[in-house]
Parts: sequence; C-alpha cells; structure tokens
Amino acid sequence: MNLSGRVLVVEDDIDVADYVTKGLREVGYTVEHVADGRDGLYLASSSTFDGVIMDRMLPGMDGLSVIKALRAAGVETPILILSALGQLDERVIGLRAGGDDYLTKPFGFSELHARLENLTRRRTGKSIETVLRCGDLEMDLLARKATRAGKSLDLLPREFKLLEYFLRNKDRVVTRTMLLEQVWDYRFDPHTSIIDTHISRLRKKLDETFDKPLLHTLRGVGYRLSETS
Amino acid sequence: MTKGGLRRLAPSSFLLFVVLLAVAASAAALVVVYRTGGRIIYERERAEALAEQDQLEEVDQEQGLANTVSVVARSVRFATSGEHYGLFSNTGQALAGDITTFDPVFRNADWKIVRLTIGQRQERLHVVGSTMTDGAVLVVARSLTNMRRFERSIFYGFVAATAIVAAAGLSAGLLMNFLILQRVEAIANTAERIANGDLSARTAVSDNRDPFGRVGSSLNAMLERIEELLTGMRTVTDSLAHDLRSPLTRAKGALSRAVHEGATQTERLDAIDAAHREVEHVLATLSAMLDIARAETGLSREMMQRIDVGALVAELADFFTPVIEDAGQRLIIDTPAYPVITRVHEPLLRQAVGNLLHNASQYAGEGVSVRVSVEEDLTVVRVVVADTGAGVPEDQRGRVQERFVRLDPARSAGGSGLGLAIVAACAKLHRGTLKLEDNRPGLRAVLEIQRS
Repeated sequence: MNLSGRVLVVEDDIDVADYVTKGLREVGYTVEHVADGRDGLYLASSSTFDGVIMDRMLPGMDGLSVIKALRAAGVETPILILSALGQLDERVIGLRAGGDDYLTKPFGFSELHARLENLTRRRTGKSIETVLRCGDLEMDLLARKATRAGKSLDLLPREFKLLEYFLRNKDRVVTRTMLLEQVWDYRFDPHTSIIDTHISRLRKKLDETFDKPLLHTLRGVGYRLSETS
Repeated sequence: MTKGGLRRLAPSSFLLFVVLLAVAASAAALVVVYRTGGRIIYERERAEALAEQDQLEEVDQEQGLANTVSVVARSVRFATSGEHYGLFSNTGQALAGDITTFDPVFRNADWKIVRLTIGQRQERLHVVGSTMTDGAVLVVARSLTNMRRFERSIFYGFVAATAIVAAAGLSAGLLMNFLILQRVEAIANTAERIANGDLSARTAVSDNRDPFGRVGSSLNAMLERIEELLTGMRTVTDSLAHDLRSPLTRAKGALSRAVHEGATQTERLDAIDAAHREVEHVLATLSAMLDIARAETGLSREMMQRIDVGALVAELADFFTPVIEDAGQRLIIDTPAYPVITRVHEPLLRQAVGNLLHNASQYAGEGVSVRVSVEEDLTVVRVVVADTGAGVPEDQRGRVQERFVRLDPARSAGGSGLGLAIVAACAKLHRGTLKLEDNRPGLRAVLEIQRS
C-alpha cells in the first residue's frame, strides 16, 4: 500500500467528502479536505500534494477555474476531477482545463482508488523505458515484441497495446472504464462485455500455457497484472 | 365574450381615427382651395371692373357725354348677371345705367362695398366709381353673388366629399376589420383548443400565399412538431420508467439474496456483483439519455474538431473485432488508406459507430459478414456498417431509431434500447442522417455527416 501519498480533497458535498477521505485514509493516504474552491486553490498552490481530487461544482470558485489557476501558476500536481453524471463534453472540457483524469459521480471507491494510484504513480515512473517486465513476462517496446519465459507471444497490435498498458500499471488495479478510456479512448460502454472479451483473448495467449497466471480478475473492480494474485 | 369585445375595440377605434383623419384632411384642403380660389375670383372681378371703367372714361373723354350715355345703356343691356352700371351728372342726377340712386361714394370709389337698390332689389355690390373730367360720375359695380355661389359650391363639395370619404372609409374599414377578425379568430380558436389540451386541433389554411395563410400553415407546422415531441416525450417517459425500473428491481432482488441469512459467502458476492452490474446499467442508460439530449439540442457543436474519420473508424472496428468474431461473424474493414478529414464531435461519433458495430454483432446472427467502410465526396462523409444477416423489415426501420425500441422483446435484458437513437442524434448533430437500407440480404446502416 502507498503510505507516503498526500492527497487534497476539494469537495463541498459532506457525504462524498467523508466517503472519499475515509476510504483514502484506510488505504494509507494522508488526506486534507476543504469544501471551498478558494481554500482549495490556496492549499494546492501553497503546499505539496501527490494528488488532488477536485469537485467541479464548488462554492467560492468552481473546480475548473481552480485547476486553470493552478496550472497557470505552474502547479503540476496530478488532478482527478469529480463531476455529476458525465456528458461526453464535460470530460473533454475538464481535461482541457488541465485536469489529468475525470471521474463521474456516482463512482465506486475502488474506481477512484485505482485512478488515483494511476495518476500519482504515473509521475514517478516517468523515465523512458524500452523494456517492461512482470515476472517472466518481458515486453520490448522498440522491437514491438513480448516474451514469456523466453517464449515469444504472438500478439495482435491491439493485444500488444492492452498488455503494454497493464505492464505500465503493474501491480495496480485497472478498472474496465480505465481501459476503455485510456487504451481505446472510448468513454461510455453500453456493452460491458467488450473489455472482458479483449481480456479473455489476451489471457489466452498470456497465461494459458503457463502455470502461474499473471492477469488477475478482481470481482466488481477490474483487473491487475501481477506476479502475486 | 368580454374577450371578444376587447379584441374588437382596438381595431374599431383605429378605424374611427382613420375616418376623422380623412375628414380633417379634406377640411384643410377646402380651406386652402377656398382662400386661394376666392382671392383669384375677387381679383379678376376687380380688374375687369377697373378696365371697363377705364374704357368708358376713354369714351367719355373722346366722344363726349352723349355717346357715353348710349354706351353705358348698351353695356347694361348686354351685361351678364351681377354686372351693373351707372352714369350721373355732377349734381347726382341719373343719366344712364341700372344704378339709379346716387351715392356720394361714387365720386371716388375703388372697389368699395356699397348697398344699392337695383330695380326692386337691394344688393351689396363692389363698386368702382370716379368723377370724369366733364364732372359726370361713372360707376361700375359687381355683385357678390358670383363669389357667394363659388363659396357655396365649395362648401357643398366639401360636405359631399367628406360624406363619401367617411362612408367609403368606414365601410371598407369595417369589411377589412371583419375579414381580419374572422381569420385571426380562426387561428385564435385553434390556439385556444390547443391550450385546452386538444393537441390535434389545426387551423384551416385556405391560401398559402397571403400572410394569414402563412401564419396558419406555420402554426400548423409548429403544432405538428409539438405534438410529435409530446408524443415522443410520453413514449420516452414511459420507456424510461420501464427501463430504469427493471434493472433496479433486479438489483433489489440480488441485494435481498445477498442479505439472506442462509446465503454462502460466494452466493453473497455473486449477488452483490449482479446488483452492481444492474446499477451500472441504469447509470449508463441515464448517461446515454443525457448524451442524446445534448446532441439533439446541438450544444455540443463547439466541441467539434477536425479528425481523420477513416482512421477513427478503422481503430474502432479493430476494437470491436473480438466481439464480432465471438458472435461467429467475419469483419471486413474497408476504410481508405488516405485520411478522410472533417470536423466531428469525436466522442459522440465513436459512440455512434461503436453502437452500429455492436448492433451488428448482436442482431445480424452467426455466419454473416460485417463490412465497415468509410466513403466520402465533396459534401459528405459516410460511415457504412453493412451485414449480410436477417436485416430489419422496411416498415420497422424508422421505429428502431427511436428511443427504447427493441424489435425483439425477448432480448430486452441486453442493451438500453438507445443505441440507434444515439446514432441518429449523432447524425443530427453533424447535420446529417442515419439511413437504414436493405443490403440484400441484411441491414446496411449509413451514417452520413455533412463535411465542414
């Protein structure tokens, strides 16, 4: 678990704020909470955080303005935007304003957690890697080749892309919507089985002929690529 | 009825105003004509009288008084009505003419008004008189009758003209008033019926070319649209209620299984997982509804960007390949190698094309092939998803584009019934169309968007 993370939650809805701060503290984060946009801007620009969770509709100053002001002031802290029922445009608008990810209410805590981990770690692992590894799985990004236990995996480009995403988020929970949005740029999925289909195909090539599975399904949450289940 | 009275009052008082205005205008015209006309006649009479007097004086000077007497007498004989003459000795004795009573004014009068007796009648006359060199007094007079006659004729003319103007104005106005009110009332009656809840009321349109006809037909068109929208709304509300209730009911069922005492841990987790999926389905439906609403109002146009539609479709087709293959179908991707650039709302287009592919995988059946292609010409870009499956009967092709319509009731558990409605909304946002055609065999869905 991540014990060093320090997160700012800017949210005026007390229930949501409680839910988020309690959850984050349980998984090891240090959490600051403010309910006002101006306070959020002040805290985020005067103190160092690993991530900010920002509601869109806030008293004092709305979330997007806060984000714009922070980015204008050179604050690069990753920001996860929270918003009521997402519309196609809202997400784009949020990301354009300088947010790093966008999550629609209502959301499950696991989804929030997975995305926050993804955001906060993305920063630290920014160095350019050409080879990604997980156990005996190895991916050469330059040669576009993947091997497991020395045996070459015959992957289609879309499977390669999916596996690359998993490798970049090794040991972390990856939700279905994260995959949809971040691998395929597809925001809304009325046909939830499509990701499962992709996963099962990848799993067939990745795990079927090996003793130890690497790609794990987490019930009701998503998937995780890891040596340990 | 007071409403009817009120409605009539305004045009009537306007009419009265118009008539009064006409009367005032003709009165003003009269004053102008009367004054200039009167002055012209008056001046002419005066000039004539002076000229005549000059002539007679000349006669007197050159030919002597005796001749003057006979000339005056002749003048009287040939005078038209209103012309009078008199010749007097310097003692005031009448020598000739029909003016026989002497007045000292005659000795030197320039167009003076004098009351005189001509024959038996007393008259007011304009008089030009002078004492000639031989001492005799010559008088030339003009009666005012001519001028009065002129005055009178102008007065009668004015009365007649005003009467005609007033009568014609009033009747034309009343007629017009009647006609307008009749037609406006027809429209108002229709509006009232609509207000009372009869949405099928339409106003009669006689002629499309006149303004009333146009008002009528555009009102009808508007009503048509309103009725359509309301019917659509009712359908949507009903279906939405149904579509949200069913998954929520299933979620509730699953949750009660989860809290059931005898349930094992695995059963519990399975039940919770099922409930979770149902709730996600509800959220997805709601989100789709919002997307459609937003696309339909056209608010999202500002989010449009120029992208390569061919590449987007190829990528999506690749994404859907496993699903199509799992359905026992073959996917043929036929997008141009060159970029097909146009301005689109990318997320919505992604979703629309995704829905078409998803529909093919769900409904075209096993063993068929699904062909995805992108075509373009100067004005439009077409994304075509054509399958060789069972197709959709022609009479149902319009209906499937509506919200919450599923042709196969047995499949109502899967999908929100919003798939094609989203595609149609996407087409509309891009000022294009969604056409469902016969692929002989199978269904050919053509999403056509306007290039911009």
